Amino acid sequence: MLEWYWTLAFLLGSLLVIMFMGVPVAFGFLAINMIGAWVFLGGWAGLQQVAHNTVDGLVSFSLTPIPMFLLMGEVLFRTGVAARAIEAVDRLIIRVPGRLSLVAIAGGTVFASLSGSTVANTAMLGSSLLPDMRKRGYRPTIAMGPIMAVGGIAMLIPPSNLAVLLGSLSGISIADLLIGGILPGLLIAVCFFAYVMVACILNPSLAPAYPLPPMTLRERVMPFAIYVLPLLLLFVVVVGSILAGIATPSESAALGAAGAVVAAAGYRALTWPALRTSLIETAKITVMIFIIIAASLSFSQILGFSGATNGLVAFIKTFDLPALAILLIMLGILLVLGCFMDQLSMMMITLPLFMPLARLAEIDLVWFGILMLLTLEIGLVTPPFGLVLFCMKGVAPPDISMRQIYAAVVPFIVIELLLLAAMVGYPPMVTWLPGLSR
Amino acid sequence: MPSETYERAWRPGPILSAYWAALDATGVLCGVAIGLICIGICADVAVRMVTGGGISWMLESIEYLQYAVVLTGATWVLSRGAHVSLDILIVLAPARFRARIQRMICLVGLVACAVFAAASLGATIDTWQTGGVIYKSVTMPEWWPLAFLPAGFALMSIEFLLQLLGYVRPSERASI
Repeated sequence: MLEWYWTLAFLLGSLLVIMFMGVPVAFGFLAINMIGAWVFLGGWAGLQQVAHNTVDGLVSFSLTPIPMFLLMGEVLFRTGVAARAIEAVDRLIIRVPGRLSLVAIAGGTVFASLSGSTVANTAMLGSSLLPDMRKRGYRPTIAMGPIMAVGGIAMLIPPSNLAVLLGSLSGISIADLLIGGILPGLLIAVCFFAYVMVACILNPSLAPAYPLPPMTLRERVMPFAIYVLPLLLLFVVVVGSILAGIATPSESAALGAAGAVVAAAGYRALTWPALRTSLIETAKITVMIFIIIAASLSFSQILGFSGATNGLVAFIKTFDLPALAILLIMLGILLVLGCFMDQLSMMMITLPLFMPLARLAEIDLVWFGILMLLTLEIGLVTPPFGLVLFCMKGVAPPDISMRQIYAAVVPFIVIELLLLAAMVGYPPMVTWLPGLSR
Repeated sequence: MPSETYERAWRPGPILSAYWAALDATGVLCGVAIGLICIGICADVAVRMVTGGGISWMLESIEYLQYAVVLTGATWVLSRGAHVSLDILIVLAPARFRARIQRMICLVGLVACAVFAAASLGATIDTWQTGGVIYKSVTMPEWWPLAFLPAGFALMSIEFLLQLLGYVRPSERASI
């Protein structure tokens, strides 16, 4: 029998190698599961056990919010309702310094929430909004920073599919995670807005004012009232139904999706092609995510059965570390992994080890979950290797250097790290709101 | 096989075209199923609000429908190149190595899916022979849901084999 550390090194090491080769994440997990099940679960019988586990893992109502939130986003996105809302925000804040950067924050939050991918969000806004910002004289620092950093907000504020996924896989209450993310997410958004505005007021050359067609107050406010305020009702339906105890997270997500369809119909934007595309795209992303979930659940079970998880937990226990130290180590690992991996892969690889450690240290799991979500996002934008930085380099104009990209994102990372530190130091920032709903 | 690029420069024959069209049809089916799941949940909530009790079979039906969507649509997603992967190595690798790396990726996928298809077929046959039944709100033989696994993963093996042979569909490969 192998020692636990050799088992752990073998399973994790081979998984990382196979993933870096470019094997799709789901099939990377599957390949290692086949080897792991054969070696640690007893050959052929072990492989058959993985089949049973796969069915058990996927036949779960707790995973249903994922397709429903995706559908909600897809409908809003494909029907153009989300774009109209962003445009309405743009009109409303037309006189505010750094307007396009603020639109990037608002738009990025919407798109990253809908797509579930900060990298895709960076690619989209980087190629669409950034050229316009540059054309209007925005400095690279204030133009690119918000686009890259906005994923941190999207992953916390409902509908956050990453939060649902985390809850489904870890056993942490999904409702608590969704509600617990609201306050930190809003705080980050407020800080980002404040930073952009203050920076642009102190140094107007960061985002020079440019002439705009004259608009009356009514012309600016009405689109906001028509296209944004009603959409807030969707948020109220999703969060309110959970808070009021009327619906489970799966049900609230379905109500949100249905609400999005109704809203699109209300705006006369619901077309058959848009609905068809929304449903098919939702199915595509759902299948992709669920196959990863199924494979990673088996991976987690193999890690547990092989003794690697218990070995690691027992090893950490011998150091008698305080809970805070264990927490910081876990968050540190996520920050490093964020240099090479997307959030989904990071979560799948680390959860089987982190959850037992969090329980060992008696850490509040909702608090830990929210900290983990934010750290996953910070890792993606941390220089020198954060994936989002390279994505931005890929879509930004050729004259933008890597140094400018680093400089652009640093202030936003500082804000996120400060808020992360505040959340670590003052857990009620996270746990207060979920506590109210219990 | 050209070394610079992995995708074949060719016109797909009728069998391959029909195969891809069938995969696309599974995608449409999955989309319809997602819509039905949404309608089903909303109906369940509405009935519960009105009568005080939900539709007893709805939750489990949705669970199994969701499961069926995943295994029915996985090959379609694979053929569309939409399974997420880390493509750092491929991007950084010299052009002449890219095709080799992609073939290696297909080989890993092919072997993993084929082994799992065989193992899950064994599990399905064993469960069928022992006659296990799932007794919940929805009662059904235990091998029914299991049978989706060998079918789904066998189809994925075929797709990986096709890709290994260079029959790659023009796609929007999801990578990070």
